[in-house]
Parts: sequence; structure tokens; C-alpha cells
Amino acid sequence: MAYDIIEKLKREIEGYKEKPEWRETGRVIEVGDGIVKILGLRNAVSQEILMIETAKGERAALALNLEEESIGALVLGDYLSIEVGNVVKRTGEVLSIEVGDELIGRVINPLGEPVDGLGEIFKKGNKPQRNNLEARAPSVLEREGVNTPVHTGIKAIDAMIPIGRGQRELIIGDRGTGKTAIALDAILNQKNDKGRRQMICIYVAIGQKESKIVKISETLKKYDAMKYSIIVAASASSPAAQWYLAPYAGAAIGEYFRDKGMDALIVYDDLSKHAWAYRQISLLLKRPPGREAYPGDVFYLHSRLLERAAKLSKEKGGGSLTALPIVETQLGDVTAYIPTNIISITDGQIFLETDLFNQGQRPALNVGISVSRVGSAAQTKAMKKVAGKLKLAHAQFRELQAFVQFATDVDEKTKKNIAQGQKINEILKQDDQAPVPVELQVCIFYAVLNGYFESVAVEDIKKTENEFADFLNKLHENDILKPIRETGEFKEETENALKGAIENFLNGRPGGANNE
Amino acid sequence: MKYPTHTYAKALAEVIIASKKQGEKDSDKIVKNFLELVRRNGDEVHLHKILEEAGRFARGAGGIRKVSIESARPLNAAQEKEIAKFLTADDIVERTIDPALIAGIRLVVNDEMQFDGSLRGKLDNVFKNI
Repeated sequence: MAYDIIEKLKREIEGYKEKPEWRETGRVIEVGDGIVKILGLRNAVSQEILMIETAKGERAALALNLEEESIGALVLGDYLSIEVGNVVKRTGEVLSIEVGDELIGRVINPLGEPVDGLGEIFKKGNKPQRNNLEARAPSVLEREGVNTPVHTGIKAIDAMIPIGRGQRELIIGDRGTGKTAIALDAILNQKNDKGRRQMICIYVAIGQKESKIVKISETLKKYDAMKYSIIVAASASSPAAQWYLAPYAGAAIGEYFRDKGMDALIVYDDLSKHAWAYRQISLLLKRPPGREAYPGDVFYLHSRLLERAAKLSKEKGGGSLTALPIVETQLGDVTAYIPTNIISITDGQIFLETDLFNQGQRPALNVGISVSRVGSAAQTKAMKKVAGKLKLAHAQFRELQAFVQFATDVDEKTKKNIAQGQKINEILKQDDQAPVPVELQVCIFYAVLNGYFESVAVEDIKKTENEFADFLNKLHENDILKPIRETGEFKEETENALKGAIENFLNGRPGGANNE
Repeated sequence: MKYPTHTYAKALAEVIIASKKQGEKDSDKIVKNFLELVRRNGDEVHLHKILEEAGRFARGAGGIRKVSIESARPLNAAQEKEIAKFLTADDIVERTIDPALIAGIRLVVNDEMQFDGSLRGKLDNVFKNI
């Protein structure tokens, strides 16, 4: 080690060229809570990295406010050693992060430094590509329509609120309604989704508890999902600067894969905390507060971030970046400032409700007000074929459900409809960390919607579903599941095979024809 | 604070420059009146900042430079002569002895441009890449 240092020092001294020159400098005139005010540096540009020389070494700061006389900058590391009077230098560089395939499987902070204790990310001597944290979103000409699905493995979402690669789909709900669980399931399911290119998943934790980040990383490892995932962590104890930068760092990594012609999925968990951090920074920088004390550009803060999620045209490599931003509401209030902003930016939202969650409907998805504006274009033909019926049946059931609470006497047909609706509801319930591959979803929906489970009691539906899934996995992998998975279509011969399989399954059950 | 620092500083600097242009050599009265005003407004705690900023304004308007010369030891005659080549008669020169520089000098003009010819700076550069 010591020898290493001596050798390096020798090289440095040998190669040292004396060229003292005039440099622009500034002086720190105010320090407070991660923000510094700097006098001088007239030519500094917005988003430039400035170096503050403190007694404990250099500290980087990001120029945010360029004023007539001074600069308001955001300190990126430890700000406690900065003192008034410290000299500040320009670097001429804007904030960027090292990107590369080596990041896969790692946990990093928003500045690109590893935090998982697995050592350096990039081999020494390699010069990895650097992507700017703030980058221009692809233009209209560089994009194309969404045409490939992202399967989340959650039945209700894949069937009724389909997501396409390159889409921005918001996950919104109160605390404790399973928002992160949905995003996590979507990541876990990517290893099941065989018919398409493997997606690289990036989970950006903004202001999350350290324990939650560890839990997520453990879950991903447990299900072997870390092989295609990256975690960008700005924990609750990290400074506001890191909360603010984390989503942009994640997007810069996502763009690396997108521009390489690969598909990436990015989860921003969550953007309400991101807005809080930006509000804190803006207020400390003395920018005028607006509604709910957020600064005037809080809409642009998120729109420029989410605009970077895109499906690129074939000329540009055909890669994609899909964004799943998460927003936490207070008491289900979606009309608050940040939720309305993000709802209007995204291409649809998955709405989770506390009431449904407490009633045992998990995922607690409110299908009525959840939408996906572009995803249906990407849905596979097989799923489209069964999902159309599902939406209709579910909507009819919702209407009847309200009606049933008033009238006790209902006719046979209505009773049947209600029973069918309840079964569909049961089928839509799903445990977390148990994503269902899309080909299996198609078969399950087909069986339920075509009345094959009519004889099964509502309370037995879950059990029957599991047995049916097992049955298909074991006996019909080649003639039913494989064709659906590989072609994405539900051809007549597959349908006939499925019909036969369902009948066989039902006959083989206790109470079935073969057991009587 | 009744007025922002910036406003006080600009007003003071402009009045002094105007009076100088009119040929009045004595700006004591202006300064006295100004101090009175600041005291009346109860803003004397910010006086330090106001005067510093006013100085910057006045220098900017008059094209005067503030040059700070930092050296590890007092400069000898030959060095003074070298430095004098760089200075003009109007420059406001501040000299500081800072042993932390080890050797050489560091020049700072108007708090904005720095020429680092000190050994400390060179050593920092050597160690930066290690």
C-alpha cells in the first residue's frame, strides 16, 4: 500500500508541469443547512459543480441560483466543515454520474458511489461513460408509440390497466396501501417474462428508511432479481441534496440502457418526498414559495424527469425507459398539489385505497378510477382477448354491488351475476411477492369468465385457482402455456386445448365427474 | 432591516462617486450622514456587510482593483519590485502573511481572480490525483 502511494507520488512529481495561471475564484459568504452563498465566480453556469476548499478538503457544491452578485449553491457532501470565507473554484463541469453494465446488482448513492460494501464498481483504469444528471428528453422524432408490454405479474394490472414499455404509470395511494409492493412485484416478475427482452430494473429510494431499503434489497436478492436490478438509495438520513438528485441519477442510469437499445424500468419511490426535498432547498435558497409552499417550478421538476421515460424509434435503437413513479397521498386526497401535478404528467395511474386494503382486497386497487392511457396498445393479443370481457364483467359487478346493499330480493340472473363478480374479485386478489406469469393469467381469466368455475364456491376460488395453476404448469406447459408465452397470441388450437384442460381439471377435483 | 444591504451600499457608493465627480474632495460629511441614517434605522449590525458591498460598488464603478497579496514571509525588495510591475497607482493593495502557503505568493484580484504561485497550491495539486 505504502509502496503504491510512493510510486504514484513519484509519477505525479515526474509528470508535474508547472503552469500557475489565473483562475476565477469566489468566497463563501453564507452557510446553512446544505446551502451556501458564494460571492464572485461571475462566469459560473447553472448546474455547474463548484469546489469549496475547506480545512478538511474539497467539498463539491451544485450552482442552482445565479444572482446578480452571488451564487446560491447546494452542497453535495458534508457541509459542516464549510466556513464563511472559504475559497470556491469552478470546475467547468455539470453534474454527471458514471454509468455502465457494472452497475447491475449494486446499491449506489445518487452521486454514483457504492453503498453496499462490495467495493468499487468500475475497474481501475477503465474510463466509464458519464451521463449528465439533467439530460434532454428525446424529441418527438426520436420516439415511437408504445408497443411492447411490461408485465407486472399482478393480474388486475396486466389485464385491466396494462403498462407498455416507455410508458409513465403513476402508483398513487395513502401510506400502507401497498404502493411499493406493486412496484417490487413488477421488478420480480421481469424474470418470468420470457417472450421479450429482459428489462433492467432501477429502484430509486427517495427519503426511505434505511431498514426499508435493506428489506427491498434482500427481497430482490431472495428472488434472484438483483441480477438485473440497480438500487439508487437516498435514505431518510441523507441530506436533502441527495433526495433531490436521486431520481435524476436513476434516470441517467436508465438512459444509458435505453440509449443502448435495451429496455429499462425505473421506480421512483416516492416523488412526494422528492418534492419535499426540493421545497426545502428552494426555501433555503430564498426562492418565492407558491401553493403549499412549493416553489413555482415544482411542476417542471417532475415533468422534465418523467419526460425522459420514452420508447425510442428503431433508428435510435428501439430502447425504452418505463417509469413507475410513486406518490403518497394524505387521507386519499388526490387533489393536493403534487398528486394532481403528477397525475397530469403521467400516462395513467394505479390508484390504491385504504378501505379496499382493510377489506382484504389486496392489491387494494380501485379499478374504477385507475387508468392506463397508452398501455392497451402494448397488450398481447392473448390478454386482450380475455381482458375485454373482464373489464365489462367487473364494471357490471360494481354497479350491482351497490344495488345489492339496498335490495335483498334480487332475481336469479342478478344473483348469478353477483356471484360471478365476487369470484372475479377473488381472482384479482393476490399475495405480494407472488407475481403470476402472464400466460397463466390468461388461462385463469379464461376459465373464470367463461363460467367454468360456476360450481366452485366463492370462498374456494383462491384454492381452486392455485390448484388450476399447478395443474397447468405440470401438465400443459407445452401445449398451452408455451404457445401463449412465445407468440403472445391465443390461437384457436390453444383455446381448444385449454377448454379440454379445464374440463379435465374440474373432473379430476373432488366432486368432479371422475370422482363421483 | 429597513432597507436591504444591497440598497444601502449602492446609495452610498453612488453619492460618493457623484461628489467626487463634482470635485468635492471631502467625503467625510457624506459618510457621517450615512452612518447617522443607518443608526437611525437601527441597521448598524449590518454595517460591516454594507460597507464591504459599497466598497465593491465604488471599485467597480471607478475601475479600481482590490489586490490582495498573500505570501509566506514578508517580501524582499527584489520581489516587491517584480510585483510593482503588475500594480497600478489606483489599486488598493492588501498584504497578508500566511505561513500556511509554505513558500511563494498568491494574488487575488477583486476577490474574483486568483493566481496561485504558492508551494501549498502545488503540493495540493500533486496530491489531488492520489
